Amino acid sequence: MWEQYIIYGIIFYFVGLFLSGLLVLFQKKFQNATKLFVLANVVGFTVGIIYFTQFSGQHIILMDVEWFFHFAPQLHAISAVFFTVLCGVSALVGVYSLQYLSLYKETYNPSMVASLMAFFVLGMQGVLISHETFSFLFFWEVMSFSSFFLVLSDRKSESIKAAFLYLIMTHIGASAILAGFLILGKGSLSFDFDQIQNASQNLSVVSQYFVFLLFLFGFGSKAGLVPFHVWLPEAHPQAPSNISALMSGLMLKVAVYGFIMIMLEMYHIPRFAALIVIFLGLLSGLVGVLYAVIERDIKRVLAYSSIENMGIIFAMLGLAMYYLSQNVHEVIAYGLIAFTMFHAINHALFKTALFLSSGVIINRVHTKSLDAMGGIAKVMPIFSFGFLIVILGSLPLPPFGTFYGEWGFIQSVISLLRSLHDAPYDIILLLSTLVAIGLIGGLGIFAMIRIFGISMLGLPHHSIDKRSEKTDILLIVPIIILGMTVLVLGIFAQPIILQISVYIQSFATASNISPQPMNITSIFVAVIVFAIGSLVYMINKIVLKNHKERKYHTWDCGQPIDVSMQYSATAFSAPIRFFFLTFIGREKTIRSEAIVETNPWIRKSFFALYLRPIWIDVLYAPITKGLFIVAERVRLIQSGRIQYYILFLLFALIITLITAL
Amino acid sequence: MSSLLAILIQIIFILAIAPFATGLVRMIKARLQGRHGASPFLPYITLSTLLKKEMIIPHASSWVFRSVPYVVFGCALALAVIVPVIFINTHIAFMSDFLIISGVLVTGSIFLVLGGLDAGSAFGGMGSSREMTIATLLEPVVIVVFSTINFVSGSSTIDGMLQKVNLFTEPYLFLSLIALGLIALAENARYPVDNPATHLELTMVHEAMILEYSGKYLAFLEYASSIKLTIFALLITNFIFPHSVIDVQSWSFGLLLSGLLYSMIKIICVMITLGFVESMLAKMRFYRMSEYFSIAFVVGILGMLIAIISSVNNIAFQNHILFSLLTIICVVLLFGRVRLKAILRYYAYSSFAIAGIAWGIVPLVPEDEKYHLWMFAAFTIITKTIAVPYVINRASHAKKSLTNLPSFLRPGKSYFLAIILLIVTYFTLRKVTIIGLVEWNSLLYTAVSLIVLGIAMMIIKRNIYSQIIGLLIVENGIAVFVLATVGSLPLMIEFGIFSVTVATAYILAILSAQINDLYGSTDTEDLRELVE
Amino acid sequence: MKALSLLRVLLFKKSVIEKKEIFFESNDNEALEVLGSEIKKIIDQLYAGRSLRIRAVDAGSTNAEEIELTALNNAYYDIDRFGLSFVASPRHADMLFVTGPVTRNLEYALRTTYEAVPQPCIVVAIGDGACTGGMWKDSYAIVGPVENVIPVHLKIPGDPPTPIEILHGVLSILKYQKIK
Repeated sequence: MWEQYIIYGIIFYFVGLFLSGLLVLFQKKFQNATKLFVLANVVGFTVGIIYFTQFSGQHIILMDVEWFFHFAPQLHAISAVFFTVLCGVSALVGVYSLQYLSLYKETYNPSMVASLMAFFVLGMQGVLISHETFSFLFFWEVMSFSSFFLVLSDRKSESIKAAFLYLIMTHIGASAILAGFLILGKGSLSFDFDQIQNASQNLSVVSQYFVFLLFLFGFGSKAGLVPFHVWLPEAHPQAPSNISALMSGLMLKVAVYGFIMIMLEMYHIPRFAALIVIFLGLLSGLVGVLYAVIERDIKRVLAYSSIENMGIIFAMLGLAMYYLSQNVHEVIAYGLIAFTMFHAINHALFKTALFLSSGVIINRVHTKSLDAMGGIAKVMPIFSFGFLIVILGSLPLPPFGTFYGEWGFIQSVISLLRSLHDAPYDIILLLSTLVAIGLIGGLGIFAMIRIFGISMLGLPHHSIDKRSEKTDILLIVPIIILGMTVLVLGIFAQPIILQISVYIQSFATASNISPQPMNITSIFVAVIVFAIGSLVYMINKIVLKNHKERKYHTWDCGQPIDVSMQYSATAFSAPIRFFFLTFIGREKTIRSEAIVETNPWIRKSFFALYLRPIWIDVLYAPITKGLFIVAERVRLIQSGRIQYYILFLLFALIITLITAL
Repeated sequence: MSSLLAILIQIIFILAIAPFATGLVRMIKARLQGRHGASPFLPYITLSTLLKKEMIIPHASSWVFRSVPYVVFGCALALAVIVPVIFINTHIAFMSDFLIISGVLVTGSIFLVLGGLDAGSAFGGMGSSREMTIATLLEPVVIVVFSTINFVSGSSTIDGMLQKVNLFTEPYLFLSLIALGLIALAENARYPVDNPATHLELTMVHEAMILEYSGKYLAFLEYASSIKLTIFALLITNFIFPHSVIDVQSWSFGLLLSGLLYSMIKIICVMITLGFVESMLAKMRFYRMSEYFSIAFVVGILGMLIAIISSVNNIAFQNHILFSLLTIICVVLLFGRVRLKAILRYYAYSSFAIAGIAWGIVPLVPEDEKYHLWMFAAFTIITKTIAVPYVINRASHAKKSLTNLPSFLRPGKSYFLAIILLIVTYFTLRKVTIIGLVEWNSLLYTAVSLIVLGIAMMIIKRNIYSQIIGLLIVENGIAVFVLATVGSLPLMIEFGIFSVTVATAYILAILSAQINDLYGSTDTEDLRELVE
Repeated sequence: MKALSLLRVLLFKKSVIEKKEIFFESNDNEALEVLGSEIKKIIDQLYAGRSLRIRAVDAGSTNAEEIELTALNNAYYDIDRFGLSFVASPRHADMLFVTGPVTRNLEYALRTTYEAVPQPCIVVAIGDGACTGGMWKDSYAIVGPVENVIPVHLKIPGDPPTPIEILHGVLSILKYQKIK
């Protein structure tokens, strides 16, 4: 019975999304379509919840159509987790868009954005439920194309540039995924994912390796792993804030989902490949977080922070793969995957909320530059409270959900270290992982606190739109709900993670291994945090009754100060920039000239700081250069004479004959 | 006794003793400066004076400014609840998970930082930026240190660690403890990271953030920092004396009293030590903080590596192994140093540790060899810890330029290079088994790594004086090698080697000084030009 | 051995320090002027001034007073042992030491500093300049003595007053006044 409900619910969901995408094109106002979008997502969310309450990880075949290609979408435990999160978050983003898009009527075409947003979510959900190559790639392309158009929706030249970079990268990735599936399916487009295990078993070791690397590149480039991440900090900030939220919060999770599926299904992934994943993950984490600390555009900071979190997620998955491929420590490895998924869920929530908040902030100060922000907390106390919750939720601090992801990672690493027996390479691997994760965590705190402190506190560097906060209530409520959800996930982390690890094990193996117990009671942690909070409140209210207060201006050493003396975002990150100078491309210009030529002592100084991402020089510039050199060489054979081309034709014919015969 | 009562007693004790701890450090420091100083009980009066005063709220601030003191105080209180400082085995023992504790510490720092930024002054922002940097760079060190103890004890909670750790059977934990001490200094804004008594805004870290707070809020913040200091003091001493902590399950009134007494004694001892340490150190420049964190990190990671290697290879930890480690650590520390005096001091320490190795293997050799080892130890101390440093120091006295030995690498990088070399050496050696040496593999490792480090030192340093030191370290490595093959070398030859060492050092030192006189430089880069 | 004997001297002998009693001997202190009755109330409120934090404000002095104030911190006079200490921010202070005749340029600074100190707060004018205007009295460049700008509770005259005089002046209105 429930199965029927779920099937109908999901069909309603997809039809609703599709209709809301089309509705805008016929109606002048986008609001109705967006309301339908929200409604559909709420239905989808309910379906997801029903699935979890009524089923324990079975596959539900939603339909089975054999109509010029095989189409049999499925819902299973892992996709249902992502499905539910996507629905819930999209519903909130929909609510946010209702007001956000009407605020930006001039800049964007609201109906267009609303329509594309519906198709974008449709594409992502389609990827989650599809179970064979053709539909998977079809929805993947729907997702990519709709997001491509969304990135260039403000029609500025930078957006168009960023969007095309995104299009190129995402299509190279998509073709890698396609190639991987084609190799697995032996050229068949209607390759059923249930067959992955069998198909990969039949491959030679070299092609297994190759297929895995193709998938890693495909999903990794979508998730923004470091050498393939260039598009991410360009494209995400250029989109409207609600779309950036969807892209960073949800689209990256779709890539993670794809990777988890491949990882669990593929037979015997080579050990070395797992090392590559760990390396890329840690590299992304470090690079992402370092640039998140020094970057000065608020949305770019958030985009880099996404890269960092993706790095952590892939490092965790890589570590799990490393041990699964050797068939040792399986309990810990499956536990790690569960922690990864928990972290991915949390990341989906808080990163969406952060991007939505950035939209609210940018709407008030009309700039993306952190250096020009400040003082918003005074104008918008409720929003700033919600934003603080989200910021704290994005950091590994108890009792928030994100804490348990990192906790699980470190605990797993330590228990792996304890079970070592003379495996020196493992020691190095685990130790460097441990150290890197500590550094990433620390710098992540720096980056996030910098955003909050600089944008919300102090004096405004720029004029703030001082309209009442109540007019923005639709913008603020989704953010607060998302932040609170991270908190609630933190409180119930222990049962949720255990349940997820049960799902994963039932998904991956037939045998039931008992999940790794968590020796930390998350509810109790929250209770103690609450108890201490009330203790402080009591001390303040009962013991200390002196509340005399007076307002006066900031201590200024007797010389009036203004906002130009306040610490800016660039200055705030100066120590980190100094300590990590080796890894940061930086160009500093200091020029000073005398105001009056006869007096050299009174000078006017000019200072400029330009941050140039290091990978452009190290990685991409040589590749471009190499391509140009190759192109020059290739041009030599194109002399323009028809005889040459006929000669090539002849050669081609001969070679074909030789290989064919 | 119920856990709840234990926790209550712990909170009340910490709250009551915390201002005294701060006052005691101040008094000790005053005494060491030749002043009489205020009574250690002064902070109690200061805090109550503050509570009576009004609060001034800056115009620029928002609600965050008001919330900060409560959150920071709440974090300190949370530490007093969850860190097992007097009692262990309470019902909330699992809360003392090291990640939770580090999370609570970081939360406190975060809110202090926000409070510093909210007033909109330049000082607050500066302090915030620095505090955030310190908290950020401490994070990996905290994780490494506690992971080590977690690794050794098998428990992720401080509570479990205290029950299972014994520092004297696992001496490498001393390294972790040193790193923990460095963390404590940085977390509590003490020397050399921060000056708690500074009046210069440009040198402030912690003070700059609370510059805008007054009255009750200031009292909260100052109280919170004293509580944090007290808890760190107790935590570190608890790791050294885990038996002084009371198990709640086996409770009696006498035990409770003795536990409180122990805690008092521990706090007094730590505060006196802290006073001495602070009187001897100078505050570091903020932009040299990366060195401080490198040292803390290197020490922490060395502890971890040794812990892992000894557990993987099932090495029982004996005296000579400890001394071999000390030898290597001294050489690693010497690696990043620039001043000749510091380098010589570390060289002397490492030579002294070699004498310790000789002493350590005495019980392992046959009777007639023992005398030989005693002689070796004595000669090592005489020549290498006294004579050679003295000679070189003497020779360098004449020239001021010789007191600095510049390196091609920055200190942080040199430490990392040293560690990489140590790891590489370990992996090349672990497959090698030399007959007759099997029992003392660690000595072989020490010898080879000393030789490698000595050669590396000769490569990365620019000054010819450091070439001498490098040579001496190589020679030390050979000496350890000789120890490993004890019995194969007659005593007279060893004696000869010692005298040759002193003579070589002397001659080389004189020669270098002569080169300096002749060509005006001892920099190898400059001297290279002489060839052309 | 040397270090040990040094430690013994530092920790347990106080031979280098000026004796406490000297600050309480009533040498002729007619010049010392305690203004107003509220000062008693303030001191009672602040636990008889057992722990007071001082912020020094220079309102245009010749720096002579500042040198004397610095001397208060050294090992010989050691203001710390009376529970008094200098702090970096007026927000932390209970007591202001104002020096110098208030020049027109520093009038604003002095006023904002006074406003920035949380009440209750004791204001001490140190030196002839701060008490009366001294040799700059009636100059066009100054606003006059400190009391023209902010309320003053205690005046310690002298050009400059010696550290002993300053400490004596301050301590005479604090706890030891009551003890006597």
